[in-house]
Amino acid sequence: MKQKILILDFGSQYTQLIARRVREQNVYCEVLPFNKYNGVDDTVKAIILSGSPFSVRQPDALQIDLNQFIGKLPVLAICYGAQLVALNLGGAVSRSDKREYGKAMLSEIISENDPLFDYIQSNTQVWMSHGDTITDIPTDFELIASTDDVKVAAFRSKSATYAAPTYCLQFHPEVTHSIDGPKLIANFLFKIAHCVPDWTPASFVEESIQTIKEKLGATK
Amino acid sequence: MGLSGGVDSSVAAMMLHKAIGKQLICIFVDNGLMRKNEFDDVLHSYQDIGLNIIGVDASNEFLSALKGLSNPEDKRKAIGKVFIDVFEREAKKYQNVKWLGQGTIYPDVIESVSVHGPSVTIKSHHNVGGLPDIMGLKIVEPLRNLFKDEVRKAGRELHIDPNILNRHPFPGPGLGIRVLGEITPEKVHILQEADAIFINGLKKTGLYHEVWQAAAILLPVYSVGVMGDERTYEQALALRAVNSVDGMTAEWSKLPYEFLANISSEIINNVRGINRVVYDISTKPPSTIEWE
Repeated sequence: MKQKILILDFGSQYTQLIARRVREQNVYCEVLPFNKYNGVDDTVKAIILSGSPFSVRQPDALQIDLNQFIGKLPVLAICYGAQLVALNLGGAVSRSDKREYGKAMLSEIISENDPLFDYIQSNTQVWMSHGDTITDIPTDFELIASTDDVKVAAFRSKSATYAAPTYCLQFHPEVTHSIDGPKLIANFLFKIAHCVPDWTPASFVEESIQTIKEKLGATK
Repeated sequence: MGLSGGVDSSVAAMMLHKAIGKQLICIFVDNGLMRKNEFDDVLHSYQDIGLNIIGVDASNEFLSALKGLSNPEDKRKAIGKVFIDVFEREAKKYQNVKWLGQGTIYPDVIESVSVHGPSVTIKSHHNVGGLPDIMGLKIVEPLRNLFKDEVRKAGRELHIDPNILNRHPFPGPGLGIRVLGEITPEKVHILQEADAIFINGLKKTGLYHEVWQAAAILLPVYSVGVMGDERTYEQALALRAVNSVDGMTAEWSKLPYEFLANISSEIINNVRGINRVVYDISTKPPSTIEWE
C-alpha cells in the first residue's frame, strides 16, 4: 500500500489547500474530519492538524484525544491544531488584544538548524489568521520562531520528548501568501516524516486502473 | 457510464477503458443544448481513442420538456430529469450491467463528508455525475481521490486530446441556461451560431487559453436597430468571459476592445435574430459566472 499523510480537518476554509500543497510535493494525502479518526495503519507517515473557525477556548470546542498519535508519528499542527496541542499538553491559550490577520514576518527563527526551516531565512513572510494567541507552550516543547506581534509563532516538541516530533505553527504555510510555505511543507514531508515523492501522474493513473481492475473484475 | 464531453467524465471513462476495455459502455446524450457541432466532434474524438460509446440524439425530448418553462430552476430540473430518463432507458438495453461510472472528484468527496456537512448550494447542481441510484447499480468513481489539476495531469498521462483536457468548463444544462427565459429551437440555433463566432474568435486570436470560461448569452430583450434602410427589432446578446482559478471567485476578462468590436460586428452581420451585442463586466461575487 502507498504511504500517505493524514490530514485531520477541524473545518478550516484552508484544509483543502493543505491537501493541495502536500500533493504538489508528489506525496499522497487524505483529508478526514477530526471526529472520524479511527487509528492509523503503517501507510500513514505523518498527521497534519488543520485550522478551524472555532476557538479552543469555547466550552464546545472541537476536541480529539491527541495521545492517540502524538509522539508516535510526526505531527504538523496548524493554527487551531497548534492551539489544541498547546492547551491539551499544559500550555495556555488566551483571547489576545493583538489579533493577527494577514501578512506578518517571521522576524526571528530561533532554531536555524531545525530541519523544518532548511533553506528558509528569518523575515520570511507568513500568513496569519487567528483571534486567539498561544501564551504558554507545554513544558516539553521549545519555541522555534516568533513574529514581532506574536511570540509563539512556531514551536516543537524537544527532541528527547517523543519518538516522533510534533511541530506547531500559528501561521498558515498552506496559503500562498506564506512565501516559503511550500518549502516548509516539503521540509516536514521529506526531512521530518521521511516520505518518498511517489505520487506522480504516472503512478496514480496506474494505481487507479489497477484498483478498478480488482474491483470490477470481469463484470461491467 | 454517462459522458458529458467535459474533462472529468472523459478522464474517468479513459481510466475505466484502460482497466476493463470493451466491458465499458459509454452513453453520450445529445440534449440539443450543446455548442454548434459539439456532439459530433466530441463523439468522433471519443471513438478515435477507442471508447465503446453510444451517441443518443434526445434533443427533441429535451426541447419538448422545456416548452413553456422560463424559471431557471424549473429549466435545470427539467433538463436533469430528462437526462436521467434517457440514460436509464439506454442503459437498460444492456444485460448484466452491475456498475455505474461517475466522474466525482476529490473536492466533492471532501465537501460531502466535511465537518460542517455540504455547504449551502447556490444553484442546484448541474453535473452529469449526479445520477441518482438507478437500477440498483454500484458506483465506481475512478477520480474520487484526485483534485482537478491532478485530473488534467492524469488525462495527459492517458494521452487524451488536449482539446478535451483544456476546454473551458461548460454547464451540464448547456445552452439551456444561456438562452434566458423560455427556450425554443430557434433561439438555441441563434445562440449556437453566435457562440461559435465568439469561441472561434477567441481560439483564432490565441485568447482562448487566457480566459477561464467564455460564453454567449441570449437575452430576452428586444431592441430597435437599423440595418441598411430597414428598421429591425431583434434580440440582444451578452458576451461573458471571466478569469478564475477555481470557479469560486471570478473577474471579468479585460478582452481587447478591437477583438470585442470585431466579434460584435461579425455576430450582428451574420446571425439573423441579433441586432445588439453587450459585454458583461460583473465579477463573482456578487454576480455569478452563468446568468441562470
